[in-house]
Amino acid sequence: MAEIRQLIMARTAESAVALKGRRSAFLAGGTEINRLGSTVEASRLIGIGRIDALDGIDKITDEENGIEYVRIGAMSSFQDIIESSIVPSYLKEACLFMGSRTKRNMATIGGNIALRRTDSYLYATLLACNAKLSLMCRDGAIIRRCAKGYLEDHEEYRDMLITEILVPAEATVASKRYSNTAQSHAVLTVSAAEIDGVLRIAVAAKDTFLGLLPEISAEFSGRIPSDEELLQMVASDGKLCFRDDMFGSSRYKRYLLSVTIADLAKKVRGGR
Amino acid sequence: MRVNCIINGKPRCFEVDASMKLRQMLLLNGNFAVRDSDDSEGFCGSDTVLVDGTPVFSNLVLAAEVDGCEIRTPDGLGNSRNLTIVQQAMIDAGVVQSAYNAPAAALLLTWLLENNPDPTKEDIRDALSGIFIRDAGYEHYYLAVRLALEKMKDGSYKSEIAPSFRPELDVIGKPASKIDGPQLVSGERAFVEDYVTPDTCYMAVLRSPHASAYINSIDDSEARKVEGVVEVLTAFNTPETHYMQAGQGNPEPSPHDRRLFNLKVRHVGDRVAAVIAETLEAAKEACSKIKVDYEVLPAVFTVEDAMAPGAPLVHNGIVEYRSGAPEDLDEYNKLAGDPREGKVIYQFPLHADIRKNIAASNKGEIGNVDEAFARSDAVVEATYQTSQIQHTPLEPHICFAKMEGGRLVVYASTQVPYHVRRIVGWVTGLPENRIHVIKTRVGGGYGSKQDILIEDLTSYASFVTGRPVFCRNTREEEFIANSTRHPMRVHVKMSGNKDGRLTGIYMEVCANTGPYGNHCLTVPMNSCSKTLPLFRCDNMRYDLKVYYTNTPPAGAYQGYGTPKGTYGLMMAMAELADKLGIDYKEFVLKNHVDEGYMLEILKGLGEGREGNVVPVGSCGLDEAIRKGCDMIEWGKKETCDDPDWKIGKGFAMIMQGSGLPGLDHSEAIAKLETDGTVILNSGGADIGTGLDTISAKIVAEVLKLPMDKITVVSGDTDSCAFDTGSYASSGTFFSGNASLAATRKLKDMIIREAAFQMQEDEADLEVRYPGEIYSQKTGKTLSYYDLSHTACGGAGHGQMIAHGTFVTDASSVPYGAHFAQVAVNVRTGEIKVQKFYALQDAGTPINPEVALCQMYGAVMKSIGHTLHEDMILDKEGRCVNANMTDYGVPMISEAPEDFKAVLIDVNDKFGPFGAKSISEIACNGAAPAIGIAIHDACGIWLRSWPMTPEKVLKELGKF
Repeated sequence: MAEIRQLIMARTAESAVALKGRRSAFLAGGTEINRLGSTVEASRLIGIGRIDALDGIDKITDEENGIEYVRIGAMSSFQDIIESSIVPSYLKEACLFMGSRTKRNMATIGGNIALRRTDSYLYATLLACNAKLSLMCRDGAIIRRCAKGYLEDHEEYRDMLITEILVPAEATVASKRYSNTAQSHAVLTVSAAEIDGVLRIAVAAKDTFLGLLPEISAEFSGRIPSDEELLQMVASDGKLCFRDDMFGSSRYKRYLLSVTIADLAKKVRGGR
Repeated sequence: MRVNCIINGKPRCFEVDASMKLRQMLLLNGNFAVRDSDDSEGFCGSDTVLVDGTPVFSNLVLAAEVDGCEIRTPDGLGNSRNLTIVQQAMIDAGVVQSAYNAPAAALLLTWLLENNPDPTKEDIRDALSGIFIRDAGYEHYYLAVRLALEKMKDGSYKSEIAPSFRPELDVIGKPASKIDGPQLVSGERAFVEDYVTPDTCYMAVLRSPHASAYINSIDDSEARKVEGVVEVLTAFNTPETHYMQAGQGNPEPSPHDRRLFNLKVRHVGDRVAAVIAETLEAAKEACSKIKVDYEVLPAVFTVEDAMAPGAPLVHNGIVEYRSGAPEDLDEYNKLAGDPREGKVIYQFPLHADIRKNIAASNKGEIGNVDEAFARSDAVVEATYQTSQIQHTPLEPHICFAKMEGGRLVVYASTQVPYHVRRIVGWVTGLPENRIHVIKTRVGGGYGSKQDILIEDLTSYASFVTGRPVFCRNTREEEFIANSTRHPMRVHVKMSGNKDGRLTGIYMEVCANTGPYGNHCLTVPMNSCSKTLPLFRCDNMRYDLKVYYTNTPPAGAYQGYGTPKGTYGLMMAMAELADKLGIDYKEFVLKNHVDEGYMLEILKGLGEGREGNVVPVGSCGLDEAIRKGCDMIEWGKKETCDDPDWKIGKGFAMIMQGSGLPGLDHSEAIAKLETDGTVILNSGGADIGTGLDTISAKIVAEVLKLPMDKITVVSGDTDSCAFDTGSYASSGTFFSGNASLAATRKLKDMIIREAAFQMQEDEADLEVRYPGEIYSQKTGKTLSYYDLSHTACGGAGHGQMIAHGTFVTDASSVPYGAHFAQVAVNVRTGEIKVQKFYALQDAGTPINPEVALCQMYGAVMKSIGHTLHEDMILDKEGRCVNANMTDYGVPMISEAPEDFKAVLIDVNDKFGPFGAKSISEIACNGAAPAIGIAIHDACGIWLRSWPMTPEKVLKELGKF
């Protein structure tokens, strides 16, 4: 648990960002920061639960590409998202991966993204659907980055505040989570989406990797690789250095990832 | 920071610091029913409150965040004298058992119904998805919601709560509110922590980071300088008394192989030192300043490690025997190692050899097994491995001790208050008259509170400091420093003929008792004694060995050794049926015992003594098997639209006991008070299972008195008489029979006194509802009130007080059969328990609704053991998943979609009003039922717990 010495409840996003420093962290839903064994280390917390601008869920159309997105305030809880009539079902499904309703009432989409955990409930789905994030900079300016960019260049964004998340209103996305029980940490969460005819496969592999698998995704161009081929691809993908641990053997994880990729790819492409 | 908020409708203002959690703030406000079961893990839900109408975990909210908010806590619902409809419905449905987080569950259901007046099963499941129920399962929560809705809409319940038994009886066998339900569900003072006084000191324990090491020295000088530190206890300033922590009988077979602190630590988490300080923070800080010089030793973690030639020895000190010492003991003791090893003191021989890490062993045979194997049509042989399991009670181990008037007063959450008193007496040197143990309500035991794991040290700390001392295990300590279910390797060889007859059974049990020998003989014995007597087989042999290792300690766990033995034997039986080409159901039906069958196998299966050979008594086994097979449509192959999902069915027959005949002992005192009400002082320890209600119902039934005129005081060593405690399924049978004996004596006294006062013959008098004596001859009546008032007047014969004792050699064995239908994904290895039917013969279920919930709860535990739960140790012996999230207890999401508990109606000859035990047996069936169903689904035999997707895939040859 973080050793908290100061808590400041910010009233605006701008003031929250202005307060952010090296030993501080934004306090969203609190399910991680206040949790036993939290990985967040901060002596000062900036509470962002009272900032109205971080709430709300609505639809917008991207002026550049004309795509309709659902815009989700970063402080929307998992349960807010599930109960929304406009959030696409694929994201609701991912929110339901969090087995505890009480925790879903507390955990926020912005907080879950900022943690970038390898057992993240949502990140694989957000990567696969190519979600966009709005980030507030120290000067109050808003920049927009894709979920992939936020993940890969996190150091650049660490003092910025996620204000909203945009997910495609219409997309074919399928996700699958594996865990011992519904409440346990996931060993593997895999998501596949077909965006502009291109398959995007993302994975959250516990203590191993969080991100997209572009090389494997590319192998689905015009064909569906066999299970054996996929197992070989997973085994040879340098990002997927699975280890034997309490969640299972590396061989098990590689096998599971490969068959799940195959199944989800078929699912989003209208196969089995 | 200032926080203004509204708590349960009342404005409140607090000064809080930045790190204060909402729960801490609520405790300051007196809302102690907002409890903590997971040290802020956000798992168990005991800390659930509503903030602005939304359920949240108060341990995961900072107090400062609720400024301006409206908060509702569980104790803001109804109180025990004015329950809400939801609270009452929970009690009536039977779900309020050990009840540590029942108030939180009541809050969640209240919130659900306030926001959704017509919830579906899925809605209820969702609302309860954040609360961990270990005792009663979740099934009757659906019933509780239905009852509450019926009461709200129609003013009364329409649904049947539970079946009723024995129409000739008034309250026995009928659903009725559990008598401690109102106190528990409303969150009133009930548990140990609720009695802690403001002047209390806190104790923190420094634990070993090594699995095996000698302690060379301990420097506590810096620790003692920490402000608020009262005392530091180590092996260097505490008694050298050797004892054991198992609370069962006396003498209990377990070797006395530990001190309060040892000079050799034997597992990661073993006690090294304890700090008593005026605040918990100071105690923890002082612990961190203690410098320990260890001499690290090699360790063993499995029975295979322990039995290997030249293996490191867990105990290698002097061995003593209180009786039956072998002639070569002096020679044996010449092999003893370093003096820091301490001693192992056996009460009587257990066929042990600590120089080979063998803590105990036993073997026996009836018939000729080898000959049977040689002559049979088929023989199967396989090894089944079970894992290390933690009980995970919602309330961790906890104790509050204080010196008062020269006596030690111990508030304990225990199943065995009289054994607590005895063992505390051993470590403090106090006689029993100077120790007063008060068993509070117990927030979950399941066997772990049968061991004196924390009361010994807490009491000693209070005794030597003279200060009140409070100690509460962290959740991590519950895993690493408590007792657990013994991991076992059960090797079974079984033979049969094509005519469907079982011809021979051999079982070899190798158990891992960990570093100390609590229950080391009796748990593995139970693997044989509560399984082999299921089989109608003339040739049976067992051979068991128990090994010391350096894993976290093992001890008693609901089911004791039986779940492991049942798993091995029933799986083997299914494998044998398969090999013989016989339908498993027919094979089982042809080979199970029934009433009157003489159980020769029991001869060698006593608990450290010769066992009683007795015939099978009342037995509902055949009915349970046949009925369950009908319910699950045995023989009908189910299919799924998705070809990757394969469906299969399995079942197992099960048995247990009802206490330990010839060993257990219960007493009760029934008093007619001066107003005609009754107080029953029961030595029995109600651990949430409804034992006090059973005693109250027995009084009500015998004396024809309304339940509200009966009070049961139990588990208090000052006011009640001796009872061996609540373990081995003894509560209803032993303590209940003692209550019955006392009440019958009281009835005799009442009749005798009434005859005197009414000037009538005793033979003409009978007791009548609502508490009066009626003369069949003259038609006159005399109320208990008038009777007792006169008796206690200046010219009367005095208060009527009766003492009942129960001991017996009779066995009342509960039987049953558990059925599972599972779906197995042969591509991903996932396993879903689609259906689970538990059918059990409990004799007369005195509290049928409570009994059903205990069956659901025990089955959920065993589903957890079968599929999810496993303490995983790294190569240094550290438990790497010592938390609720990673350990993997099942919650409502893991409950079978179709889940039924069925009580088979059998009246027992020896139990009180025909009752037998109910709960413990329900832990025994899930593993074999699920294992056999998995085989039926996809053709593989999973021979180890937990049955994980990875094991499925491996067996299927997927990688």
